[in-house]
Amino acid sequence: MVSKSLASATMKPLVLSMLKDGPKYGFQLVYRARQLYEGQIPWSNSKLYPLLHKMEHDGWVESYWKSSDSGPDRKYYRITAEGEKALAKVQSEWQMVNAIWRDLWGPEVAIG
Amino acid sequence: MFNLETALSTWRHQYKYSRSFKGRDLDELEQHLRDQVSFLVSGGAEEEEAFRTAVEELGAYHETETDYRSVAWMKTRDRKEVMREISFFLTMMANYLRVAFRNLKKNKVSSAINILGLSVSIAVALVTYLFVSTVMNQDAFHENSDEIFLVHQVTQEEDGVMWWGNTPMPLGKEIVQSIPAAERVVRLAQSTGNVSYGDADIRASFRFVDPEFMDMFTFPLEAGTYSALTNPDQVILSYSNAERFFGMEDPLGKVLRVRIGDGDPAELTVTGVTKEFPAAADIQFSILMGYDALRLAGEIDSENWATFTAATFVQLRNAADEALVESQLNEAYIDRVNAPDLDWQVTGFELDNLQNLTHNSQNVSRTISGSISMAPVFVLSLISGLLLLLSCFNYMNITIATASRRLKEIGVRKAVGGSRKQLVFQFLAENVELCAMSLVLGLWMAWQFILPGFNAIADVNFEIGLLESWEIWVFLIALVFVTGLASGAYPALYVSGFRPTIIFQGRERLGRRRPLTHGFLTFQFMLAFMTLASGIVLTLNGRYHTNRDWGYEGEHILFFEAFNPAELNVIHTSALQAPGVLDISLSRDAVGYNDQDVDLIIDGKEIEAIEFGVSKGYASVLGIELSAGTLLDDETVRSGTESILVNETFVAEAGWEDPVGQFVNLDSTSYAVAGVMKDFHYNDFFSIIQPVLFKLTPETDNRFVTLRLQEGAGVATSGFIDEQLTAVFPDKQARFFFQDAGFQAFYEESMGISSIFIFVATIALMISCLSIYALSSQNVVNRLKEIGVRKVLGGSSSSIARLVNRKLLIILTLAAVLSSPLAFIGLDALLDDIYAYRMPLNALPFIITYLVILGTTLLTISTQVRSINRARPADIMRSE
Repeated sequence: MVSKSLASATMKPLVLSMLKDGPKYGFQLVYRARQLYEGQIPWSNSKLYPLLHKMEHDGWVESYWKSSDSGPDRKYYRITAEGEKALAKVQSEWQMVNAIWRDLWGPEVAIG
Repeated sequence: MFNLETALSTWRHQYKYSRSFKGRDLDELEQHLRDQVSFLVSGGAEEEEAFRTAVEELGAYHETETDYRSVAWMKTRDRKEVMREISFFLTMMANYLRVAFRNLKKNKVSSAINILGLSVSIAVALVTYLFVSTVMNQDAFHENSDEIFLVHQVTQEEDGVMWWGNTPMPLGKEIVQSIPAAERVVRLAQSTGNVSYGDADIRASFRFVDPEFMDMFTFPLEAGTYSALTNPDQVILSYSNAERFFGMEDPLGKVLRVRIGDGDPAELTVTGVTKEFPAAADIQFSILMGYDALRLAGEIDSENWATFTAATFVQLRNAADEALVESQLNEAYIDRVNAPDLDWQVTGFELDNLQNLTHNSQNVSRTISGSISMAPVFVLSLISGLLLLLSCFNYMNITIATASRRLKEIGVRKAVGGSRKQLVFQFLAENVELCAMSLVLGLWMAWQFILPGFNAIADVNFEIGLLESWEIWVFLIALVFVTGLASGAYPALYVSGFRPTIIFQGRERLGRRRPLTHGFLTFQFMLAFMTLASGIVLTLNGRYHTNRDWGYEGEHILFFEAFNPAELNVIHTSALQAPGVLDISLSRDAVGYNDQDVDLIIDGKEIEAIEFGVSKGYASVLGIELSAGTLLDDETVRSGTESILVNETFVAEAGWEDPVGQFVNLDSTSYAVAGVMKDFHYNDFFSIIQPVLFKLTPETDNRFVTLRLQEGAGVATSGFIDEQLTAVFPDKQARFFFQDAGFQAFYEESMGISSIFIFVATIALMISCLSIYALSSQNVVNRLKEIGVRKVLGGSSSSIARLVNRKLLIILTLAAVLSSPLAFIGLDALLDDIYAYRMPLNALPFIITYLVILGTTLLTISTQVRSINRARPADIMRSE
């Protein structure tokens, strides 16, 4: 299990990456993240929505409501062009860091 | 039976009132829970279990609320709801205050007790603030105060470095011409003289200054101009002197007849009157004239470096140049100052800022600055802080003691969703509101009672000045908030921690174990004990002084002051014929009225002494006893040798074993010691007796006629002499004093000091009694069943009251035991600081203090007898 601070640092790029595949609502993002993490990265549900709201404020995602079968409407999120640029930047940063780890630690423990 | 909709509704309800969730945030979260429940149910889980898992994974309320709060303000701005949030906040504040006010009204007695205690403490704190800020900011009101410095001369003496406030007269002009960093220089000289206007004929002090005085210092005028500083026949009066001379008349243009120092009579026109000096003004004047007018006081060689002026003020262009100017003075003027007199050799000059003069003046000789002891500042600040602390403890004790009355209120508030944070806020709001009310009442008390009383005792003229000073508002507002938070924090946390379920089940017991409450009460009693002990000690010390021997006759001694030789002659002649006169003597100085500081050389050693210029017989008129030698009688005068009398302290300072016949050098004249006087208090008991000498002075120097009278002859004698004087000088009135009037003035000042402590002790005791009243009332409520049983078994109400409050009495005794040694040490040091001569301390004052506090406590507790009397055992048992 990775540390909370590292988990916290991965949330934003992870959410943007998942939204790149198509619009999603909150629980879908949680479910997909669980599938990817397989329990290795502690995920805080209560932090997801404030993160989405912050990214919406920054213009990286936009939201819309759709009616649901039961209860209140569902809120969907999709990535914007600004969000894709931000994701691209984050990707290059992580890849740079990844290259450094690969040099230091060798290919066996490097990510991906 | 689990119902998802009901569970979701209950879950949503706890978030409903949080301001961190905006718009449809809760809809989004609810839908998340529904989606997760559906997912888990589709995997085989029970709906209730799925719901619990979903809620658990979402996170606890405070976690979720915290995460949403981090972006709440961002969303408020995005949604353009800023004004709405502010409005909500103000509405919430108003609601807190409304509820707080309602609660204060519901608990009138405890609220009144708290407000009263706090008000008095706030009033004392305010007066202390005025005093301390005035003392710490002496002369700071002058616009240029940061750049104004007094020049001091520095000499090296046997026992160390000495500083002198007076400076050579030519120095001022030299500084202006040769030191560029000096923007302006003002010399100040002073003298005393007689001033007559109409029938009034008084002794006054004169100050002479260079014209730049009005630019250097900030003394705005009430009327007229500063033309007197360049016109030697004009004067400027202080506001109080203008009132003294002219009452309601316009002083401008009036002519005063004066005789200053040794000068000739002159007529001076009043051309200016200053506004009243602020309380923080140390440098003041009664009558101000230009420096050139100093010649009215007699011939002075102002170009002579051996002629000194009382003060030389320098205003620097930049205050940071202080050290530079000092070094320039040292380089240029040390030799010139030292040249005229080889017995007077300075080692350097130092500048002292105007605002520091009063704090440093105890170390400076011949300074025009008054001296401020930091002891009153420290003591008053300590007293004020302790009283505030006492009030805070009082509030805490009463709030906790009466908390049982609010159990149900707290239970209901929590049950309907109130968070602990909201409850804490509610209680703090109540407390701050109570403090605000106390502030208003405290301001009124300070204005009406405490400040006028303080001004009378301390002989000052402080005003609250709410409109003149913003600093006082900052102080008051900070005082309210700090006191409110400090006193309210613990009770708020304590009371808000009650659990609703236990309250409604009736299982919440506010236990008798309240160590913190007992600790607060112990501290309150200790404070009350120490302050009351201080008042009693000082009062007993006052009685000690009343019985202490001054070393000379105070009763039946009358002395007259004459302003010129003709007047003196008339008074003397009249005294020889007056009824009831047993003995007469003339003198230049009068014990208890004035004296001269002199420097003598004894076997090459310089000592400072107090000189009284007298004629023969003066010592015997006053009844001063000798321990060796003879008085300055006819034999001494006939012998042709210049003789003096000295006191025992003088002998000790000189190191003589056989003083009679020893010689001292004074003003280049050698004097032989004719006799040794037993030490007497020529001043008061505040100051230590210095070396004193009586020296025969020429008849022409005499100003006082001192008479020893028969008992009861005072009125007749003074009346007779006054008549004789008026017959010769119709516009004169005899100016006379009874010797023991000086004693009375000292006793009144001394009693003033003890009055302050008695007053503070009364307040401390009163506040402690308020706590005792509240706590003992609560004790009765808590032990109602026990009281009922004891009454049934035949116990008397008074014995039950004492039993129920036994712990309070134990706390009182413990406080007395703990505080007695502290009070003893503190008071011993305090007496040493105030008085040079004081009573030795013993256990008696502390025993009296304990008995007073015990009696007051028992009296307070006895008020519970009535409530115990009224308690009917049958009703108590039924309710319990």
